[in-house]
Amino acid sequence: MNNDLTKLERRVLAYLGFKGEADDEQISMIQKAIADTRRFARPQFVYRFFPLYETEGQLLLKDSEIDVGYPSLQKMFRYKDSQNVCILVSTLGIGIDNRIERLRESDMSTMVLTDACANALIEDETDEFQKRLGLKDSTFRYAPGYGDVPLSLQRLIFDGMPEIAKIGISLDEGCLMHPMKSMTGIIGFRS
Amino acid sequence: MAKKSLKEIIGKEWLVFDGGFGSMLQARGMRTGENSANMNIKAPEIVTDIHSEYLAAGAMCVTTNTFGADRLHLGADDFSLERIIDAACSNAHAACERAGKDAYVFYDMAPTGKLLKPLGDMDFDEAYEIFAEQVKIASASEKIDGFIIETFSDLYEMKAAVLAVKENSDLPVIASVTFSENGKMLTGASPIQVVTVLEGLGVDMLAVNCSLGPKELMPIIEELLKYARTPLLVQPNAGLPKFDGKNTIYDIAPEEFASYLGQMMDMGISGFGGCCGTTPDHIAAAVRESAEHGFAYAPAEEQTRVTGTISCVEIGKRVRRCGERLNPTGKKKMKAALLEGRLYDIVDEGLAQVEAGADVLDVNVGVPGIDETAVMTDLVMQLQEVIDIPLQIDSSNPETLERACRIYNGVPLINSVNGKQEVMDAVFPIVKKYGGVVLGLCIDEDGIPPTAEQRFAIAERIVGEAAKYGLSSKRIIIDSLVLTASAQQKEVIETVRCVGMVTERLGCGTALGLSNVSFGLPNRPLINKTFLVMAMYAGLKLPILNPLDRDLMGAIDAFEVLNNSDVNAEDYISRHVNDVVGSVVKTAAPTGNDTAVAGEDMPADASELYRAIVKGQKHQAVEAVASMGDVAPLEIVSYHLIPALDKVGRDYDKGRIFLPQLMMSAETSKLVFDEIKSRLGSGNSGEKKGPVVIATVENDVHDIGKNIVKVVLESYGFEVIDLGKDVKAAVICEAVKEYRPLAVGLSALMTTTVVSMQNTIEAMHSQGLYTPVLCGGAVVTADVTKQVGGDYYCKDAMETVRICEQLQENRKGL
Repeated sequence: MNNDLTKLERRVLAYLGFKGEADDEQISMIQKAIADTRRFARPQFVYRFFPLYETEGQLLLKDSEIDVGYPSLQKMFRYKDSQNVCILVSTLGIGIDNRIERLRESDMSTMVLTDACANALIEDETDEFQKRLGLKDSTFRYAPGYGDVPLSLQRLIFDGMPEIAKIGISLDEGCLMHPMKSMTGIIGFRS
Repeated sequence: MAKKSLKEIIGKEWLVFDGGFGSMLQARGMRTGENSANMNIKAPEIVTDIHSEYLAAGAMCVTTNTFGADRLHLGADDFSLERIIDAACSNAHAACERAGKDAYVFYDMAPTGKLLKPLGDMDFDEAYEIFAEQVKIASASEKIDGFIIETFSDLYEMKAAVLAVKENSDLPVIASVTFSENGKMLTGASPIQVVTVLEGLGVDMLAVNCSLGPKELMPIIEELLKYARTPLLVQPNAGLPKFDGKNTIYDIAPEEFASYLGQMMDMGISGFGGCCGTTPDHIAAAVRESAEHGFAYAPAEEQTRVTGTISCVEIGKRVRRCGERLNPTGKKKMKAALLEGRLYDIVDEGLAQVEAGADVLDVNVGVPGIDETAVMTDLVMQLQEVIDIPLQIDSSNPETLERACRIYNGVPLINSVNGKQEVMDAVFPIVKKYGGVVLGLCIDEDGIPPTAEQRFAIAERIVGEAAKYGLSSKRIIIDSLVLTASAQQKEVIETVRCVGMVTERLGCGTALGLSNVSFGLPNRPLINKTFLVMAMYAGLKLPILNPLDRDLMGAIDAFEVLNNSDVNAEDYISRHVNDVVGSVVKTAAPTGNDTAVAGEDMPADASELYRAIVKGQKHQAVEAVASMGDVAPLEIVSYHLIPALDKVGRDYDKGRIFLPQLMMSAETSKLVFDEIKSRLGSGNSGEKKGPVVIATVENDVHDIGKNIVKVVLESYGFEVIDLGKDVKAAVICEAVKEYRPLAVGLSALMTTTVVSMQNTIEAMHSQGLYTPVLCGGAVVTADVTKQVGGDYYCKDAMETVRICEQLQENRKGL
């Protein structure tokens, strides 16, 4: 019966750590929370394409200081035979952060629900946006902070793409993005 | 022959602009990455040459090379802003002199590159200052004929720039925006909204530049022309940006570019030029093309429109609902929220009205003892963060109106003017300057006149006075004012008659605040609804009402069907298809259905309290416990509360309910606990559990998990000392010394902050503090717990409860 749920709704359930079959009451709770989250979210995106070139056995970004020499990224590019890289940065804006912050004071259970919805929503919106970019033979969307790719790579990405500030994202000393519901994705693609 | 003034040309003949500049500079050797504005001083002859090439190609307007000449874009290595702007204006001026023909210099103003609050972190006033600084320097050069504000992707930032020009110069201003592939601006504004806001601000010409190629711009231009009363300039890119594997290129040839512009000329644009990737050849081709087309500019008919952040509401064809509830008059809760600065509570009330179907929200903060202007601007900012519909700024203080209209994102409804001369003198200049639509109240120095004719006379006076400011009747909505049927019965119908007269004779929209009419009578909703229908039939367009009143809202839906405004009853059907007609259920709907779902295995003899806790119904739980006055407190805990919590815990572990439901039950039981504690009195508080000190460790700002643990622990009766997030090891050690807790719970979400967890535990141990440490958080596992020296790993909140219960038992055993 949960097959009728949208991908977004299923994602919210997953982020809540819920493994059972959701009943009608739970589904309507999620749907209401998603609608609420959407009202506070203003999804925005910036992206840039970089051609890859090979030197000393490594695939690197042309004319860019952004270092993609980490083994897991290299393996990912090789596997899909990537010739270009898209760096895609997305955010839901500060409104949803403020909303969650406010709920902390007033309604903790809704806060948890909203937080899960926001996390699911940014993934969902970014998926949709990425689809529109039409990247051929694209890889997984890899984010700094996973595996062997350090969070500090964010600093190089933000320095190399000043347009990120245009959608209102900034980086703190710990290389965390603000607003919190923001994502950086490194995607290899053929053309 | 003297040069024609720009105002004589705009909207009467083609205004021909130049094309791309940056690529031309790069072709002449400018390094990428350098601020191109520096070239005005380093290589003035190159800049002047490019201007001259465009003039030779047929352009009559050149834009100064000042894209990015502002204090944010210029670095320490660049020349001073004054020198750059002065040189840029001189270079453009020199090219015009050299060309020996009528040519005009436009100062080019670019976006700051930052996003304004609330989306970004720049203040509206700061953006204004950045623009105003440029306007002042450029005007002082006396070498320019106008301003073009271009490539703006946020309408709110554009508003700051337009105000900066208009307040610091008398020269004409062209406002040029960019659209994304989805036909909207980056921050979501649609073409109709762009037209409404920029015309409201009084720009001399609307414009579109950059963004897309001419082909892709076509539907957007069509849409803009449908609404625009102001002439439109179009400067497309030479096609969509393409990526050739090395560079971004634009590849539409001059002839193709010109043929698209030709189509737009027939549609009614008034000027053209080019943006990224265009060259003097493109401009020359476009000028040749323009000779084949007649000048077809025709202003659209004026309508009454206001905008929100990403919406535009037209008042005229359909009845629009204005939410009345953001007004402290007679509302204790809102008054308290305003006095205590809890504006977010007011925002939530606004959201509820939007949800219920309001098209516009009235905002009034008139409470004695607050700084009305400051609170109003704060509230408008906070509302616009989450509410996209237009607001109606409601104040009798002109300073409040002015300040709120200034920072408002869009053009608002302004509430209000009336027949008093001094009020009109104070408010009309605000409407003129910031755009928008103003409510005109049929009251003057002598009060509210009794007859419709007398009120109509005031309405006429208001419209006449507005005309002196160049504001047409479409910028005014007349409120004929509602009196109370119980006190002034014969005057109620006069209000309705006045609505009819204004609608027919003045062509204005009309508004009425409904609820006054029924004051003092039984069954007020019935009177309100009947009055609403009478007034709508007379022409009422903007009832000011409580959108949560479903009966009133339904009457509007029904009226729109019967009045033939809701074509095919589409809106009516979509809103009322599930209405249940029949006996009205006075009390809350019986909960038979949903208890069946959640209570599948609810024990048959389960008490109200037990059920309420399981279902997380706070209100019912408090009522239930209140009705159990004769039951011993500890009995309530042992036989109702704990069993209910245990069931919830079991359901959660089995995956039958999800986390927010667990928390709702936990919050509910905490309320019950508090109630029971107060009953026990301070002397005998029964079994005391804890305390437990919890914290998110240093450098980590994620505290949702920690908060969940807090709520659930408290629901089980533990005292919790929450130190917050990003807590230093020393602070945690101090708390351990002070409270001697049962346990310390540490949370870390990121691999990078697990280190802080380890540091904290080491610090505790070094001070001889061996309180059990519980570790949790997204990246924490049993192994991580061991590595950092923690005592227990808690996979979730329920696990934390079990461990703390165990520790509590152990402590008792000692």
